[in-house]
Amino acid sequence: MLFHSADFLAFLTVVLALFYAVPFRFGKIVLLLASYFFYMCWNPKFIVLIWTLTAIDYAAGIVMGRVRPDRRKLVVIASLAANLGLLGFFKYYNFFAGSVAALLGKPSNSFLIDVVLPLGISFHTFQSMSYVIDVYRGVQAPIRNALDYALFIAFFPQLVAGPIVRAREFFGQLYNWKRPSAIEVQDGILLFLVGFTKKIVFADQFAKVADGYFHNVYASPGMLDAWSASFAFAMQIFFDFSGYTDMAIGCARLLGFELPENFARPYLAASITEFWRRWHMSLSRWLRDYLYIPLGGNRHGKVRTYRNLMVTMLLGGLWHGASWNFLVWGGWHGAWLSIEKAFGLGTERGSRWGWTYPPRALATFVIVLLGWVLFRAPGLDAATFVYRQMLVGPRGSFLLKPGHVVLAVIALALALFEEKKAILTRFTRLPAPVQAAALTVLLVCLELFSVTDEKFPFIYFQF
Amino acid sequence: MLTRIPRLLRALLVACALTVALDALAFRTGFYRRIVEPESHAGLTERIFRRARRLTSDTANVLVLGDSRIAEGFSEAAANSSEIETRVHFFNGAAGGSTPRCWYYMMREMDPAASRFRAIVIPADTYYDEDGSSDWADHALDSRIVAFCLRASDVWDYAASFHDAHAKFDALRAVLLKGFLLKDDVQSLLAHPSVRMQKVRQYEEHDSEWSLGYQGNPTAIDPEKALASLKRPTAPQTGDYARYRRLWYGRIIAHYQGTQTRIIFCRIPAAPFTRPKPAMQVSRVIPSLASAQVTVLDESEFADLERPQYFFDPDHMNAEGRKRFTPRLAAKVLDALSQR
Repeated sequence: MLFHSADFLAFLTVVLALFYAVPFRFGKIVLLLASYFFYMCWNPKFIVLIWTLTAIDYAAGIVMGRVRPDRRKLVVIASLAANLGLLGFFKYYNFFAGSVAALLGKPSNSFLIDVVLPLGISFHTFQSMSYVIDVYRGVQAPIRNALDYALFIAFFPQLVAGPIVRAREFFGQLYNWKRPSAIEVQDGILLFLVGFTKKIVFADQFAKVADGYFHNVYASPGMLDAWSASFAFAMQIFFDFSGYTDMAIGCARLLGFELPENFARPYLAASITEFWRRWHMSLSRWLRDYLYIPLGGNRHGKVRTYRNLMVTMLLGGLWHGASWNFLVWGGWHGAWLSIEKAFGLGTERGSRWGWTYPPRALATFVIVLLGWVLFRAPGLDAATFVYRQMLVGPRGSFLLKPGHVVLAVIALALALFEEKKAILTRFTRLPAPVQAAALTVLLVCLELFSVTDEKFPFIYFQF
Repeated sequence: MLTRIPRLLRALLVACALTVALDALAFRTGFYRRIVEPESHAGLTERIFRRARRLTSDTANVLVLGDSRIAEGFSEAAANSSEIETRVHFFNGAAGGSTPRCWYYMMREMDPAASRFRAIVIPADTYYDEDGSSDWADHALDSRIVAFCLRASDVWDYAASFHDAHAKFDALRAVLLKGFLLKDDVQSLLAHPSVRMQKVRQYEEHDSEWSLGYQGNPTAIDPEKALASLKRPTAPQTGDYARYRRLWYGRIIAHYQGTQTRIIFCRIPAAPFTRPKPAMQVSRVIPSLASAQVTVLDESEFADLERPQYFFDPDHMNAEGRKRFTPRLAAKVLDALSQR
């Protein structure tokens, strides 16, 4: 059930109606049942996986709360092994099996098995693992109420593609949960609408170009083809994922929860370091707190810092999917983060909007865009072909239509306004006629420029 | 009560109302109909309406409905040539891709008072109501074809005529906000306004001339390909097609109930070889509709034209087929009209 489908709108309407109709103490049950129904709409069988993960980590939390501190380590290792084991089996088995077969010189399908990747497994596994690690570290009390823990794992607005929520953030809200105020409801609706527009007006318009090109890159040789399609994908993935996130945060707000911010205008970043503070922030935070810092962070000299950065980003890349492309994509970003660290380029000096800002932001965007080629191309060969076209290919043709250019310019202008003036935050305080006029423009854009005859699934739903 | 709603939600309600109003202003007032892409589905239907508006009441007009098979197989110019008849004027209202549901809305648009046409000719490829692999009720193209014919009052009725829930939702949205249907058209207009305006002007000047001057496709289908086209997968028989036909043919007949207009059903040459009868027992709605006001032509009337030399593909008659079919259909219509 895609967030931008009529099915989801109907589902959300029913859930909201039930949520507001039943006595508040039954709200949790409504949300849990709705979340399981939401997940089962994709594949009912895999609800067992969610229940298994929930049971393992709930039990691990309870046990850690009862055993001596020195025994906790065993429990956390067992829990992490179970989580990573399930993730590894469903997500990475075939990747490693294929790689081993290649190493042994056997046909690539020698050890493959038919595995369906459960929806959003990377997200809910990481979320569940963070709880167990926090309990182990003593920063999170074990959750006694199984219903509460089950809701933490399965909460439908962020179940399949985040944002990845920390246990203490979620339970802090759950234990002080109250029915959302009218203001929260209006904010939720506004955010949902903005996310919906990002997805079906912006992301899906660019998706037509990017999908058309990357489906078979060899069919469209040319420098302009490669650059314009890569640009289209850069736009698609941002609007697709941030649109989804806005819708998720909006849904959660309608239900009285505040999910963490996940994007802060990443393409305005003036360095790769800054880009990762603005892009998929909940994953960046997770990787920092549960991988980079435990590896030693920047506490043991430069070489160890660069190693830690590379390891974190390589695994971060692999988190996205089981392929060499994602691994190299992670390495690409890890290398740039290390270079920036080595030369002190990642830190802001002087005024952000000085004359050096445009070239730095442009250079950052180009580096990110080159990385997206690895992310989107169907294999390393295809990515190499695209890079060759970008650098030494024939002229080719520009794949973007005037409408795409207009969308990109509008997006840039809105991002700059939001960055400098926080227009979305201030929107609720604008005079009503201005709000009505702006919302009318938004709705007319949804009507006339949305993509509704083709359905493009959210990119991050596959992770 | 309204003041208890937060300001932003009130603004959103106003924005929704404004959006509906703007949509109505653009797409329901006739403004956009003048500049719609002439070669789009909505544009083609609009061109048919434009030509229909020019029909005079001096002669008895006969509206020939249909899809691309009639557009290719029936020549309005030949039917109206003096060799055949001068008392009536045939008007080819066929739109490629259209279905009986479209014909009902198109007919209603061209003749809201049920007084403009002396006869309505409704073609069918078969009188058997055999269900195919797709459900005609969910034919998504219909909304684009009849984009300008749908009224706000059609909203429930039109949406309910689709079976699939998603198709119902799309239809509901299409009637409420026509911009959803016409957005590709609007986007191409915004991208190349001068090209569009030039094309619109060309069609305004030459549409009748181009439509009437069309001679048909001169090629003939390879008989082997034609034979292959006879092999069609059989689908489970649910009776959906019979219900669909009963509904939309019934509505067309009901629109003209008690008027002077005769409804004429005919089985047109539908394939390069006459298709065998369905293996299983299926209903036949069309013959059951025959009445004092409804004529159902014999189903084998034009069967001799179902030959590869009269078709350019598995579904459409070529120029030769068109040349032979047109006068015979016109003659049968005149016969039916004179039998009153």
